[in-house]
Amino acid sequence: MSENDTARLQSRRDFLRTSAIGVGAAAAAGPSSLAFAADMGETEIPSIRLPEDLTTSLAEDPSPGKFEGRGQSGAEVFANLCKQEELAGLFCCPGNYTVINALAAAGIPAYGGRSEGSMCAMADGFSRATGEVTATSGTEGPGFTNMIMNIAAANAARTPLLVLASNMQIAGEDRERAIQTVYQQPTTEGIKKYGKRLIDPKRVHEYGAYAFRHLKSGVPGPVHLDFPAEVSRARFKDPGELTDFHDKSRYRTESRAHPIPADVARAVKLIQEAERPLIVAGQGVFQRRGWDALKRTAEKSDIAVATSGPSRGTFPDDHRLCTMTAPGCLMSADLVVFVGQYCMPSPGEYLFNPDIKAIRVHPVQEDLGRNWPLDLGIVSDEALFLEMLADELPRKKRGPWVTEIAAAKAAYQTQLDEVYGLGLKYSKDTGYLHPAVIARDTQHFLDHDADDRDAVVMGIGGWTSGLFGGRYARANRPANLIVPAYQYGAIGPDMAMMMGVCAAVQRGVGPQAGYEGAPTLCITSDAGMAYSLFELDTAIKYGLPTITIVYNNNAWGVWPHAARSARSMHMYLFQENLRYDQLAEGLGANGEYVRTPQEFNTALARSYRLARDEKVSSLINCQAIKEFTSGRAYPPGVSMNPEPGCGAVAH
Amino acid sequence: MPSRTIAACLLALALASPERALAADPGPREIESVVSGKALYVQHCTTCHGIDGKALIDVIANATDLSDPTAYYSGTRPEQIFTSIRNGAGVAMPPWRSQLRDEEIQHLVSFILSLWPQGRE
Ligand SMILES: Cc1ncc(C[n+]2csc(CCOP(=O)(O)OP(=O)(O)O)c2C)c(N)n1
Ligand SMILES: [Mg+2]
Repeated sequence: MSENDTARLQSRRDFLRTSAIGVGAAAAAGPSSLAFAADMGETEIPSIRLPEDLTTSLAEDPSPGKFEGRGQSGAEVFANLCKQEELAGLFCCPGNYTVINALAAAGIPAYGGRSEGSMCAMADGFSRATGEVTATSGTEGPGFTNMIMNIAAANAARTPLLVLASNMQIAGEDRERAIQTVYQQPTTEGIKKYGKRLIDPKRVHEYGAYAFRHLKSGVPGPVHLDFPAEVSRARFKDPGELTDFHDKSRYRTESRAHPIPADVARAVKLIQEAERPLIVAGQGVFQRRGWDALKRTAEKSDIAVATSGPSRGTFPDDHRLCTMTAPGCLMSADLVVFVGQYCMPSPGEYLFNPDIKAIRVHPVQEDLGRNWPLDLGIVSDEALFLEMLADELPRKKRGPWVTEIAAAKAAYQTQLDEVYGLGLKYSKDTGYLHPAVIARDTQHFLDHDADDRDAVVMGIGGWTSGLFGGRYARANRPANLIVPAYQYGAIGPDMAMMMGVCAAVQRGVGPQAGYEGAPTLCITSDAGMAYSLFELDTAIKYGLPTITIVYNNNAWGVWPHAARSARSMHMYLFQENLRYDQLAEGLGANGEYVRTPQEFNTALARSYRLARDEKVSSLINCQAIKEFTSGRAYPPGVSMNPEPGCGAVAH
Repeated sequence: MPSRTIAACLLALALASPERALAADPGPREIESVVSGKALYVQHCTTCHGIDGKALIDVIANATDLSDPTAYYSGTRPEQIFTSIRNGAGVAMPPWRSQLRDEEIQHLVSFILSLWPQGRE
């Protein structure tokens, strides 16, 4: 840490002390507090710090439930099953106490935070970064319903998310006994893969198995279990008291669908006949860790590759065959091979020629032919298909296709450079930061100034900020980039989601192995702050080094909707010049306020050092103006990005 | 553009024709212009105005329903549509002059006119 950084951190603490005298003490003291605060004089305001109990508790050894002695509770039976299934993490707020305590005791890495919705987004982020099953939990009723937006986002992203919640007592069903009962399962209708209210204590293990069968087979998605007290607190002294108390090797299988050789032969023939074939490697390729096979296949026959899904980098953006930054060549492709494209676009949504031939490889037969008419549908595990295809494909060079991809990349880069130039000009003209500058300079910093450009996982959300950010951000290894808005388009969860990603990086889980210690970086928006900002407390509590760049344009970026509706604009606006950096300081993070490209780059470099060296999270408040969204006033303004490609959020 | 695509576009136009505003008997040049315009439209315009021009995906603010000339804000004469594309319009529509040649904008105008209900040209 440089002297400058130390001085800054010190001054941040000083600021906290002084501001807390004015605000914190006044608030604590009640109505007549102002005079009282003034009387306090030199009273020392304690600085923000971690509670001792936190450190002690994190150092405790696991102590899973046992049948011996008092026996184990239903919650412990379930927790032990989760441990056996290597549940990667739990992100929750207090509530569903018996279950979260049992999961923590069983040795599942657990994180507790400030709001259930954000913790759910963190669990989703952890899974997007690793492909692993993660859990979220909240209390019956309010905690659970607070999660809804982010369960839906996880569902749209096909995240293997285990949603847990307590739900009062079976004995109180339909009686509104005590408080908080809600019919949970109907609430998640349409936003889960599987769900069950557990109503028979002795079947708790059996339904745990149901949950993991769904989480770990086929196309993943959220599984929602709600636990009445009769189930979580039941006690069992003997395995014989539980139904279907089998080991995971007996209640589910790791067997996967292999493609039949005749199908692979037909695929090879179509690829051989094509001049400009393109693979769209969807989320299934990431989930099944098929990235090596993907590369081998593409390189063997000069097949172009685009990736799609909520985690980017399954195929490196900087590869000569990658079209993520070459939208101009997509119309020339004459064959597309969708592999593991879970969320299927319809023709017209991908920038392909209407004549393009299509092969689709998917683990579930029922989905083949949905939305996109096929020339060949193949039921197969994604990785196994790619392995087999790589073996069977003859070597082939496709010079003109490769040249066209390179030209399209160059043309796109020229476009990006032009927009960056405009962004610099607009920033200079107005004295406020344009989103193209934030986006481009962030990626430039990672490429040139970070210790290891691939170590930092970036996530990009917000509307104007997100659509600009996505164009400039690059992914060069699996889950190097997260797309928080993927398909569901929620504003707000991104900052929290990236904290879950950060937890995965710190633990080095799955493709994040080897990058432990690296910070994560999130570009997001001022609207998003209302949803996730408070989780800075959680990031700091657990030493998760996050950097959040807030594009602060004083507005919901969709304000142009009000342009022709005179009495509407107020609904789209916030107070101007809000200080998210100061709010971050109040939560114990480093806050930065910037308005020029120079200030931004300095703040980013300092935030990176603080994250890397001190595990301190930072928030960089980039003051902008809402008018940058307008294509008329500041062209090109905001627009959706072509798909499949960088910056895509829909599929 | 491969000939199969041109055929497909023409077919699409023909099939959807009951409410289209191409001149009753469009000449080959006009048809070609519509086809070129459609290709450009698919590439540059659908994210705001939708594949069918109706702007039903409520994402980018107040994109005009191109299939309904009564909903146009900045004029319906071909030269006015040309100017809206070239120089931008309203708050959200960016100027396209740096990315599209005038000739291409002309094709886009032809395609947009083809989206109108019959008899409105
Ligand atoms: C939770 C949520 N509320 C509302 C919307 C609808 N919406 C889409 S973009 C947007 C504007 C978001 O503004 P902001 O995130 O600040 O982005 P920017 O100002 O950078 O454009 C809104 C309201 C949404 N997608 N999600
Ligand atoms: Mg905003």
